[in-house]
Amino acid sequence: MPPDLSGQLAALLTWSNAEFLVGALARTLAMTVIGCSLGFAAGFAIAVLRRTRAAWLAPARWAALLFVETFRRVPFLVTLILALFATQQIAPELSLLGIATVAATLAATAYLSEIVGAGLGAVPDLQREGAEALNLSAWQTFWLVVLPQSWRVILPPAAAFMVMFVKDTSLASHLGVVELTFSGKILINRGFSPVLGFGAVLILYFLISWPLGRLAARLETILAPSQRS
Amino acid sequence: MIVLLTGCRLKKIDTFCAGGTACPDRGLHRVALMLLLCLLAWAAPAQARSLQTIRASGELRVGVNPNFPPMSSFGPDNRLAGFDVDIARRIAAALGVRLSLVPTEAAQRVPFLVSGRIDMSMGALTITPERQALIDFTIPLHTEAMGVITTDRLPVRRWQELDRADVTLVNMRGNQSVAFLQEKLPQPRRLLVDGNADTIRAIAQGRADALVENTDFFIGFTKQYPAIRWRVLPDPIFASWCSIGVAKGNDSLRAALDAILYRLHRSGAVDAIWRRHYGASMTVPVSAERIAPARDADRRVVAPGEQATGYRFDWSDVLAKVPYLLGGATVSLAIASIAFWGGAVIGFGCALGKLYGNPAVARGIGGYVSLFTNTPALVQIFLLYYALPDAGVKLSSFTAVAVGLTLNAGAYLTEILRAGIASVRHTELEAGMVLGLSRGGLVRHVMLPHVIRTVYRPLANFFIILVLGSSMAALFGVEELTGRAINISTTNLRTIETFAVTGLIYIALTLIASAALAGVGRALFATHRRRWVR
Repeated sequence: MPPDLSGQLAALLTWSNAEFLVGALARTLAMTVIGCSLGFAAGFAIAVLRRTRAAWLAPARWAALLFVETFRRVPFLVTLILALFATQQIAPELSLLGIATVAATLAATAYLSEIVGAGLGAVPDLQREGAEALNLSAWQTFWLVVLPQSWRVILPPAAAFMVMFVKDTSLASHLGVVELTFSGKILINRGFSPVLGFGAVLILYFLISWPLGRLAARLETILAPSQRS
Repeated sequence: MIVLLTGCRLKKIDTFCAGGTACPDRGLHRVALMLLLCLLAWAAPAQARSLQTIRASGELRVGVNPNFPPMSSFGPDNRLAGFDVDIARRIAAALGVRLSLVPTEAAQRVPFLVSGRIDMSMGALTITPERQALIDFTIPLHTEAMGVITTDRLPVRRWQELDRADVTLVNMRGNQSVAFLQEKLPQPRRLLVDGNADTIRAIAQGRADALVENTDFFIGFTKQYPAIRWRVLPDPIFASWCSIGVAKGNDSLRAALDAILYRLHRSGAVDAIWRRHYGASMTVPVSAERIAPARDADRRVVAPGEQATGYRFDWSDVLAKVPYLLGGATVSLAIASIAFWGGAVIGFGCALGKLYGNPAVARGIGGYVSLFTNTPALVQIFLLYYALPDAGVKLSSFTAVAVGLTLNAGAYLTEILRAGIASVRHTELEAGMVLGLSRGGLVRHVMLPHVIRTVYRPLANFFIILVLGSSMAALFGVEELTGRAINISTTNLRTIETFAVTGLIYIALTLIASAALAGVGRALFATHRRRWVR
């Protein structure tokens, strides 16, 4: 490995290293996108469940509360480690990337259920009472009255959460998932200067996160104007 | 248990910060608790694959360390290569199956064997009584001679002279030498890191003075720092034996591996492969009597079939170490507090600069905010920790994490506080000016009270996020809550139990913090409301 930075930069910019980094980038994105998509679906279900009033659903509501509070109050790093060792008992065939995705889904479910819950709660009670007065069923009230008004409130913070989550997946490097941060570690263990190894990784994160962040911000201006007075 | 009940007593207060979540009453909490305990007590038995199953599947899954040259590491072609890889290839060939390499970090070797994710584990697995309770070992593959790697900065000639309080020893989590050092060299400070390369880097960058470990394994990394005058103390402290690990009770596989290793030793193949990767023979050779038990391994009678290796929970060790973990929790809180207050100062300054500063200042602040909010805090701290020493700035792991998280928090708090400051009405500021307040007076008496009231809740939430985020300090060797949990679990090999307890401590910590912050919030603003509304 050449000792000077420019020589190292030339050594870093090879086709096989580019392939390696793009593969790592793909794994970072896979964890984020799959984790957040499954998390949004599950979080949505939990948010709806927690707004039900039926007595027979009470145990499910407590379980949902316990789940959400647990994964919102435990660091993602601890969730990852627990997921790694718990899946050893349940599904030892699952790959490290799969395990990290499971952990991402658990955390995303907990956080996104709060975001969805806040969105559903933002619809004024008067609207619901009005729907009831019109003799709409619970399902019709939800589908025709609550949801059309709340998704504008839900989408911007949910998108912002996903952008934030790209960065949280860097902790999966601790398990040995060869995602962006771990690929930086491998590069510097091969002798590249930390400035180059982690610098390259930092730039790649910025290149994903910044445009997505702008997109999320635009989403907010497009969807939210009616919420502002 | 205490945690959940506390959570219940604090339910009303907690809703203030937890986003208005409803909280069921006390009796229902007990049901939830039962559910949690059932979840924790449940575990399906994992299966270790016997020799027959491996042969039938046509594939041998071998755990090797991904960052451990010359044992095994990713080469320039980004594929695994090294001594372990060559030996594994020979074994797979002798068994007549394909080789599948599974990257396995040091701390994952035993759990992956127990779960059956890998059939055999390499990665310089030293035979220790703790491991023997959980897995079985073959005859030794190689030795490790414990020695000292240091530099000319440290004027010692024998390893016993290292027992001084002004010496920092670096070590790797999950290595058996950690316990040995605590017993034989109790005085020196210690720095625990996660990777082999990190140990030598820590000495090169002046964070530690010496490494007491198998010198064969680590000396290769010193080539990356030609400017340092490296020294290896001559006398080995002691030698121990590294074997291939297999799941407990997987006797058919162990017998087959014993027979193959015996032949590889007797033919000189192990020595030849060792010399190819290390450039010299082992410091202490594997003696003939050490491999003798495997002479008749081929004829050993082994009951065929699968062996179940279910996981039994054992909470005794981690429960005994709860006080140690709670000590780590105070370090976590300290890191979060430093980052919070440091970040609040930076954030307030930057928010004012962004709103009222000239365009150049605002652009500079915008660049800082988007750089730090669009990249992971973990990578930011990696850069501070590993790249700054090349520029002559050496931060301890605690300082690096504290500085990194503070800069990161500063960027996020700039955004939160900017929104708060922007919500101050111009008429209020004008009224203050009419009353003859100075610029500082305007900030102190008009702006801050308003801003604090508006942003108190997001700030309280952000503090909780910082408490959770401080866990990444563990990856730099800071012994806070998660770091201590990793220390415990790499020794007692009870990871699920250790981290379940750790998780409960985090839940308790954040519930208490949320409740305290909510209480302060209500005490602060209740009086205001009464004064202003009435």
